[in-house]
Amino acid sequence: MKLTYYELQKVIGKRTFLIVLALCFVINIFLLYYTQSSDEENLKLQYKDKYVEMINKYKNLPTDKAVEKVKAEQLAYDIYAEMNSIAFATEEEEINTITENLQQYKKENPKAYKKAENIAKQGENLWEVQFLYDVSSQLDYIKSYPDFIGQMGERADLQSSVSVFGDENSFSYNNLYKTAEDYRHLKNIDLSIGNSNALKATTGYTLTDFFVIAVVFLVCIFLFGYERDRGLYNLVKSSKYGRLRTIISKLLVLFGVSIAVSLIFTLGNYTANTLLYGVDDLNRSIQSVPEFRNCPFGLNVWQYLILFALMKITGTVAVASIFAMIFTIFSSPTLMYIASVGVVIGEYLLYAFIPSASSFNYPKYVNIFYVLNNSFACEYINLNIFSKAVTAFPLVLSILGFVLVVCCVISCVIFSRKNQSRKTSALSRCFAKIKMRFFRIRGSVSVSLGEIYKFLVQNKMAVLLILLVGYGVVNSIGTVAYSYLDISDSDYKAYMERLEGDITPDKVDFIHREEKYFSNLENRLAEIENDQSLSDNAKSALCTSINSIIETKGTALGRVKSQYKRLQRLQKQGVNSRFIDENIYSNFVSNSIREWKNFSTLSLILIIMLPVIFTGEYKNGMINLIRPTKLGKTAVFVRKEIISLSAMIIGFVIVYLPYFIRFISTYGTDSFSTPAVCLFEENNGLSLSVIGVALLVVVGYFVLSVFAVSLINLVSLLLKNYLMTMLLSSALLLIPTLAVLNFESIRFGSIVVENNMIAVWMTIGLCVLLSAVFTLISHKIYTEENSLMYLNSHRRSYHGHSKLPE
Amino acid sequence: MKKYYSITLFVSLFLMLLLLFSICGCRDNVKKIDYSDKYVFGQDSQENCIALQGCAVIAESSKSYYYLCEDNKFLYVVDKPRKKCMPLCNKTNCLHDKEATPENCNAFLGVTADNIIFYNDYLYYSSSKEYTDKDGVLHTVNEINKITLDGSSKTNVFSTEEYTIWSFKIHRGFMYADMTLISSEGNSEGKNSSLYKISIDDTSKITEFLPYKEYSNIKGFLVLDTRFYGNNLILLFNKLDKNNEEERILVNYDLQTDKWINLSEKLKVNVTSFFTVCKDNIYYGAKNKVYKCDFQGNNQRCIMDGGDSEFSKFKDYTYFNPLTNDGENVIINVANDDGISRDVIFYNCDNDKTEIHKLKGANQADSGGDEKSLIYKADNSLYFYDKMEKKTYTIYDFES
Repeated sequence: MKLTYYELQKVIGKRTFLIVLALCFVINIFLLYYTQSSDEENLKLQYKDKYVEMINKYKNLPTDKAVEKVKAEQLAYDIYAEMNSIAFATEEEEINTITENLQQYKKENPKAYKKAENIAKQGENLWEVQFLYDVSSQLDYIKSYPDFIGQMGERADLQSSVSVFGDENSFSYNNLYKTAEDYRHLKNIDLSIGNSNALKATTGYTLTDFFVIAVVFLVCIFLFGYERDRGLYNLVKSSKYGRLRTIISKLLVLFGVSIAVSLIFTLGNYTANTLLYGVDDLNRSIQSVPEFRNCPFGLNVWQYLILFALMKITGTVAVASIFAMIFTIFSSPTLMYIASVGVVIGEYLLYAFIPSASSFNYPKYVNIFYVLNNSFACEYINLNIFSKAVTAFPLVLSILGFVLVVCCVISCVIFSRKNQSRKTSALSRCFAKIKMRFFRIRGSVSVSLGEIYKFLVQNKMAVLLILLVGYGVVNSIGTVAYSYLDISDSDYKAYMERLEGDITPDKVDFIHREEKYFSNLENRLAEIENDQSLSDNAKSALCTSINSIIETKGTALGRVKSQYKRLQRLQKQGVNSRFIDENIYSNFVSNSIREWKNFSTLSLILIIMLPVIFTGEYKNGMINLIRPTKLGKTAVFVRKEIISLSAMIIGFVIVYLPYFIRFISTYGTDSFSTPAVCLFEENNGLSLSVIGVALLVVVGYFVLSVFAVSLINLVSLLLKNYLMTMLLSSALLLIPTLAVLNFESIRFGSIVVENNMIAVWMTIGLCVLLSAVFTLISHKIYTEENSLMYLNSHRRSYHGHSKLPE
Repeated sequence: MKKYYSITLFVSLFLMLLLLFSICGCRDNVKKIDYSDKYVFGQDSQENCIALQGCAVIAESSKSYYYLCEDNKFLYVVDKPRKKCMPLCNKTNCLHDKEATPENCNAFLGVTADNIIFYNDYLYYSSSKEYTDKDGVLHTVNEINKITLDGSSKTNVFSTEEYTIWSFKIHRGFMYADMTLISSEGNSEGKNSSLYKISIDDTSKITEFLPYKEYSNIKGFLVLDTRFYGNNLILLFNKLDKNNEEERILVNYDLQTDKWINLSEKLKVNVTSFFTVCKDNIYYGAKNKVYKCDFQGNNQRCIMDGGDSEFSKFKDYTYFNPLTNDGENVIINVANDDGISRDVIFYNCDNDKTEIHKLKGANQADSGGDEKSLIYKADNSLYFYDKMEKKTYTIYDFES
């Protein structure tokens, strides 16, 4: 027990862990709040009290009565809509019909009519319309549920009567009856309406899983990576309980902390959503919520929340066991990071991209992300195992349990038997030989060369840079594809190849000739229709041919004509407008996927490359040797910063340049000088050319990358550990990048294209300011933190003592 | 060393077990192809189910019909003996086409699904999906997928970004797809399509089989319809002269010998209708008469004269169109310039007899079904016509 306690202290005794946990929690809650509140149409958020009030009004009524009352309320809005429609009616007959309808309403539903008149006077409450619809949907669902459940057996009988499902030895037949049987116990449950928004928001929010996984990774660093890096395993292993008991204690602590973290985040999410959306009656059946109709468990809402939390814990513990195994197998921090991230990404891709009806769908369901997802508990799936229908829930849990046990056993075996100290790999030995032969330092060198040597040669970043350059070169080869989404796109492209560039009389004539051509085609269609000499079949064949031209090329010409009209308007406003292919260049100036993908890729490169610059010397204690030297502080710091920025610039060029090379080789540069406003529907005053917009966006991301560099360096100096720096930087840079991927407005391209220059310069200014501040703080830490302070903090965090050793 | 060997062995066994699980749901019956010059069920294109110009919403297996509803993109199965229709989904906890979000239903093939074809105990359909490449460019990928007869499992068979798939048929180991090369569409007048031949076993090999784009009514030439039968591909061309006088030309292409025969050169009459192929003969119409000939254009005979007294019912109708067949009977639709008759004529290819059948609600019979029944959609309902009883059953109501 004491061993377990001390292992626990290694985690929770670290201030870093508590700070990272708090930071991840706060960012998670912030992103949760942002995703919920960013939807402007989320009236349930804005008027949560009104919604709760409405629910309570109908909740305790018998279903039929509640339906009647809601329909009566909705009728008032229907009458109001009818009243409004008079304003849009153009024909007398229509007006008469509407008037008659209104008179009938007044006669038969005077109350609803009066309410409609009040609405007309006071204005429509959009929230009331939406909430009434929502309550009505819930009530309709509750009314239909008994039939849905009650008739399952009948549906199974009906479906199995058809020959394709009738083979008793087939999976389909077994699935039909097993499903009906598994839902039998839900036949007589009571359902009621409620405010399930908090529940749906909590169970639907998936970003938390990545934060929890990041924290679990951090715990693994403290438990497994810390002692290995300091060469303390030999000491630990030679002690009385040095091997098996130690690893068991570590695993117990790992699982315990993972469970606690998972619980904290899940509870935090639900609490936040409850504050946002209001409370719900947790005692009603989970099947009361339409989205949980297929949940096969007879649980209340609060019981379901516990089940949901348990599933999250299961998934988290499974991830923790895999990470523990990776940490015991690999000794290199880079390999640990890559393997861990690889496992997480691999599992996610299998879960997200394998279709559920695929014949090879096991990796989708036997998957950690499936367990972490709400659908694991609330959906009912049977898997086809040798034509038998096997419920996925217990099967997946069993396999996950098996994986957990296997990973634990492997971790224990390897930890107990293997020498856990860092070994030099064959690649490293080879690299060392090359280093000795070609890069030996003879005598003293300048600080700059020394730092470059440490970064490139000693920390092998030269290999990574060579690989990156290779990646960049390969990425530069090829073309940028044209997007053919609409059937008229290829015709539009053909037109633009003819028209792109300055508006000349030739091009205007061409457009007029094309207009005439299509006008003739329309006339031809009319002629064909009226031609008595042609059979129906001939008419149909001719018309089909002509219509296919009108639908494709005609649509494309329509687009060209509207573009021309727009360009003429711009010309009158003094813009030097030119024809430009909107499909190509709208994507060129701004594309959300490409922008964030590039930034995420660059962030990943920086996260792997930069932490070595500052953390290396702390790991081997060399920082104490460097500080007292003549140029030991600021000079070294400046050179390290320069190397960081140089590495960032190389990475930036490798990530961003290939697209431009491929674009220019595919489409040339003729339209680069075209004003960007020629691409947009409205002239928003943007005065930049197409290439100007693209370059400004690139500059924006460059500044953001400089900020990322300063952030990573600051984190390096605060944590003084390579792996922890990588982890925290991932949490601070990569996860928020993932979170905002679907938000169009949160990217440079969008704000530049909208000509929101204030936002552009403010963002750039803020990044520059923060970069400067972080750099100054980093400088202060690097130069003013003396060796004694460092030693004390290091010893305190490891042993829990504040005294120096004697 | 021994320990690592044990661990490796253990992990390998575990992976093999996982692989075994993955194949336990799969079955793939690979049958040898019969190249005889007759219709072979299961490996030949089901021309009795495919309507004009490759429009394929019906397919049949030995026990069932499959219907792809173009409105909601759900696939329905019709049990032939029991005359029952339901969505092709084996889940009891699914409301199928009544679900608010149908994506989880096995019967829902996707909003872009088209063309349902039966081949070698699987169903095939075309669809498209979008994806974004590394440059953020949105692409459409056009696919042909196959599903098991119970709808529980779907696999992708063919994917292309270069071509738009308009329709396809599968005949004796090859997919014949009417496709257009997307990038060249802009330089053509109208649909720039060709008939491409793709091997089922190796879908990377795409051969341009028949360049439809060379024939268009703007140029005065059009391919109206194609039908497979045994080793023959019969095509119907429509040619317009300068005065818009039309001429229909029947052509036979032998898939084995690569020979083309202009059948119209041998025919005594000008073809004025569409055609169908049944029991080793081609059936075509010339105004109010229906003729048949063999695949060489020989042994021509008039099998039905609309002017005969037994067809007095159709005295106001001009066109007799042998649109389809059911393997035993040629089904002849009757029409004039004002409309189509609700009565259809069944001509029995064996005993040379004709029968008049009425299809409730239908305008015409687009597909022939099998010798005992056929299905068709009309007025938002799916109908099952029993040819023996001469009775129509409403088997599914889409509106409800």
